[in-house]
Parts: sequence; structure tokens; C-alpha cells
Amino acid sequence: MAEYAIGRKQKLMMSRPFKVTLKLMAYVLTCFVIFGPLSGLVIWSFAEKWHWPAIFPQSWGISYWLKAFKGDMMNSFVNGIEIAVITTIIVVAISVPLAYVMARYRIPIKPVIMVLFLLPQAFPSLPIFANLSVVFYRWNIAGQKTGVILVHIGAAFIYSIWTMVSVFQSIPKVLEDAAYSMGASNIRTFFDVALPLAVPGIIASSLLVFLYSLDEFTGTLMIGSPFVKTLPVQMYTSSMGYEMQIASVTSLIITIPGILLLLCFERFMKAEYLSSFGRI
Amino acid sequence: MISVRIENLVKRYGNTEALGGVTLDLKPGTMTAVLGPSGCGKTTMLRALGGFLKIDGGSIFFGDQEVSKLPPQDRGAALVFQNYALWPHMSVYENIAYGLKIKKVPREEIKERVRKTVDLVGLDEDMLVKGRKPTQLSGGQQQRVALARALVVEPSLFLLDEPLSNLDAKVRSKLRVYIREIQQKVGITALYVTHDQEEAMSIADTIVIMNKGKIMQIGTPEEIYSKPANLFVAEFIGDSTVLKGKALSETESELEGNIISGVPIRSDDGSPAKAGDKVDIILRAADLKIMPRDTDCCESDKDLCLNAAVESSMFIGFKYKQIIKFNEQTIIADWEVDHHKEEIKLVVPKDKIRIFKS
Repeated sequence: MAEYAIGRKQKLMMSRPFKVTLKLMAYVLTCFVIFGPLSGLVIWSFAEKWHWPAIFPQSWGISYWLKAFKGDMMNSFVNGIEIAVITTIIVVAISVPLAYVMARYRIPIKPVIMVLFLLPQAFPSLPIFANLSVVFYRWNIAGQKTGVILVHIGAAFIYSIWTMVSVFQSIPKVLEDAAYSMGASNIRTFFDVALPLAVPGIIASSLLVFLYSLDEFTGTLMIGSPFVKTLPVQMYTSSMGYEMQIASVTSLIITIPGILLLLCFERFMKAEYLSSFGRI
Repeated sequence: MISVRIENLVKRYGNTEALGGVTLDLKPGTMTAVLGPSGCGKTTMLRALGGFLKIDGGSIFFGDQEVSKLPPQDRGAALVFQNYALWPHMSVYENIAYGLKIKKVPREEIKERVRKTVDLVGLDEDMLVKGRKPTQLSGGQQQRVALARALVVEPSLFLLDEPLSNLDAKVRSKLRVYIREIQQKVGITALYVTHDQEEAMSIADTIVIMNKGKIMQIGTPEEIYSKPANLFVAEFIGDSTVLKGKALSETESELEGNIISGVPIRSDDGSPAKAGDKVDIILRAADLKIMPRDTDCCESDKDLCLNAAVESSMFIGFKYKQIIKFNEQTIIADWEVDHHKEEIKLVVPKDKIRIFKS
């Protein structure tokens, strides 16, 4: 019995080179899963000519990348960034104080507020945005950045408010009690204690909103086009025109801020920030 | 140095009464310890004094001023918390200086007062170097920083909410002496909430024993220990055994064939015992003596002698804690000599016995 057990144990203890190989294979597999789908796009973005049934393009070049940086694409990129930045600033500026109040004080209508923010997510977005576009035409903000920003604010609010509520709930109340007992007013305590401690959470939350706004498609298309275009809309239009190369270049450009920001996001994100998600 | 008066304080959470009409005086410059099991309302009382919860009845006076409607900011009571509650994003210096900054004290004066307070609580001044964060300190040091932060503003009242219960035993007993010294040096009125009776006994001028939102007894540590006012206090303080007995008169009771005379029977409501009433007889482990069975030790009017047997014993440092069987009942006694598995004579000094009507 004992001998058998030892034998098994020895079998499980692997030699070093074998372990390294296994690790390497795991890395390769992970990279393939993450970047595999993107590799097709990379190839397409450098393909000048690629006809069936060739496995690789017949001729390579960077003319589509150059085209992208010269034409509408840069314009859409800048548009998208501008809209995302403004959306993020407004959403965070409203949701930080609101979330603080909701986290700290017992408000009778708190569930109503939370459901109100959740409501837009409960219906298919297309009819909602179609309806909104009618209203926005009446207000004369359809086809303008203001309209697109408003739509993004409405849709992204839920992410921000729910993460911010958890962020403030994760800050121990005694830290504020200590400040009160030192004579600090409620507002002073918010700025001296709660806000500085919430900064990582606020950054995480604003990254969520920023990425949402940057990638938002339906609302931007319904409200903004044809006058306001962002990268996702641009990509949609070019792939409709069967310009696979332009579509590939666009999607690669969209991916870059996403990946960069998610790397930062991972640093600031704590699991508990999402703990009150869906809890009213 | 102010006096504090709590009158008929009531706090309810739903249907449960966390505080059921508590009345208490804190004399100026004294340390009062509130002692009780968890859930007895002691922390609720402290938070009510600090202004952190809305009370449902009664009033609180700081000196002559009624403060029960005032927010914590306007009360001038400084708190020290169990988990220190230091602000992790501020340096040690910023933590301590915060209260003075709020009060707009000039910068030079802040520096001076922070340095003095740091000396007072026994911290090194190099704690104050720029960028030193409280999270880099040990638990004991963190609590000293918290003490300094509370004391630097010269508060009217010092509230300590189980300040030592997160620390290990050695640091705890050391810091306990420190807190007492500081409180006496500064001469501040203080309320100290704890569930550790040794801590309460050693630190306080006055001890308040609470249970289920009510005050059970107020007295000096000696009074609480030697003259418990009721069964709860008698059982709560020290290691003791409760035996069932019967009253023969107001000053005489019977414990399974042994008559205890001359010990007055108390009751919680003050009414005297009648013959035939059931009573609880309290024997404190430290008051009992264990003698060999054949000793003829008993002066019958001073001591009560019970024939019993030691069932098990354990060494607790300077004495043996021994479990004694006496007519089906179990009694715990601490005695210098180990009488493990022996037939013994349990000697109980009559003046140390407390008897309560049950």
C-alpha cells in the first residue's frame, strides 16, 4: 500500500524541463485564445490583395493604414475620444456625490432610484434609442455631439452608480466618525476622508464608463449619424461596403485603448467594488 | 474637566431596547469603565455620548449643557476605536494634526502640540517624519497614534470603545497602564467600554456593570468585586459557582443540610427573603479553601465546612483550579495545593458568601 502511494507521488512530481514545456504550452494557448481572433484582423489590415482560395494575401502593404490615418477614421477616433471623455466627466461628477449619499444615508426611495438606473438595461436598446432619436430631433440635438453624449450618459450611469455605491460602502464608517469627533463638518469629512479613500474606485468606475462610451454603437448610430461618427460606427459603415481592410484597421485601433485601459483598470479594480452590483 | 450626566437614556432598535433608561454620572477627571457581555448596550451608550446615534428618550449633559440634540462635531468628545480608525491615506503626523487643522490652529502651534502629545502617549518623535503611514506601524503603535489624535484637541470627554481588544495580551496590559497614566496626567473625564473585567478593574475609578440595556451596579472596583448587588454581577465578576439553596429566614439559609447563618439574603428589588424562598448561593473560586478531610479546621461560626471530593484539577500558574463534587453539585475552587481525586473538606468563609433570592 505504502509503496504504491510513494510510486504515485513520484509520478506526479515532474521533471523541470517537462514543467517548463507545460508552462510554455499554457502561455501559447492563452495567447492564442486572446489574440487568435485578432490575428485575422491583423492580416487583413495589411492585405492589399487577397482573393479566394489563397491562404495568405497575394500582396501585402500598409496603404490601408495610411488611408485610415489620413481620412475620416482619425476624425471618428478623435470624436469618439472627445465624447467618451465628456461623458465620463459628467457621469462621474454626478454619480460620486449621489453614490456617497446612497451608501451612507438611509434614503427611502433608494430602491426606486436604483431601479430607475437599471431600467434602460431591461429593454432591448434598439427601440429605446429609436424612440429617443425622435425626441432628440424635436429638441434639435439629434446628429450632434450633445445628443450622443446624453445617450451615453444615460446608458453608462448604471455602471458608475453601482460601482461607486460599493466603493463608498467598502470604506469603514468609523473613519468618518473619527473625523466628525475631531470637529470636521460632514462636507469636510467627505473631502478629507471619504473622497481620497475612494479615488482608486473612482478611477476604476470612470474607466468602465470611458470604455463603454468608446465602444457604444447602437445609440451613437441612431442619434449621431450621419453627422457624428465614432469608430464603431465607422467600422460598421466600412464593413457594410465590404471594405474588409478598413474595417480591420478600425477594429484594431478601437482595441488599443480598450486593452491599455483594461490593464490600468485591473490595477485599480477590487472585487468588492462590484459586490453591491444588482443589490438594491 | 467636565462632569457628564446621562439621564434615563433610551435607545431602541426595532422592538429591542438597546438602552432601557440608563442614568449615570461621570465625575470630572475620573475614568469610568462600562463592563458587560456583548450586546449589553455598552457600546450603544458610548455612541450616544459621542453623538453618533439618535436617542429615543432621556438627556445627556456635558457640564450644564444639554447635548443630546447636538451632532458629534459640536460635542467635543474624542473617540478611540477598537480598530484604531486611523486614516490610511494620511501620514502619522497628518492623522494627529487633523483635529487642530480643523480648528484652524496656527501651523507652528500645531507642530508643537503634536510633538508634545506624541511624547505623552510614549511614541518616538521619528514617527512624525514625512510620509510615515500608520499602516506601517504595529497594532500597539497604531493605537497610541489614535490616542494622540484624540488627545491633541484637548477634548472635553474621552470615549474609548474597547481600545485594546485587537491587541495581543502583553501589549494590552502595557498599554492599559499607559492609558490610565495619561488620563490621570491630563485629568480628563473618560468613559472606557470593555468586556474584559481585569481591564476594567485595573483602569477605572468607577465601574458600571451593564446587562440587557440596564445598569446592574455602579461602584468602585473593590465594591463591585466584594459586594455584588445582584446575581448577575456576582456571576459576571470573577470565577464563581452558583448553588441552589433555601431561605430559612432573612439571614439564614440552607445549603443541602448545611446552615449558613448571618449572611443577609438580598434580592434585585430589595424585598427581604421569607422562610422557604429559593435562593442562589454564590461561592467565588478565589475565596474557597481546600483542606484534607481529616483536618479539624472549622470555627463553625466563621466558616462553612462541606465534605466533598475533588474530581479534577488543572494548574493555572500560581494555583490549581479544582472541580469539586458536593452532593451532585459542582463547585470550582482555586487553591495552592493540588488535591486531585481526594476526599476533602471545602472551607467557605461565611463573610465571602453572597446569597440572592432567586
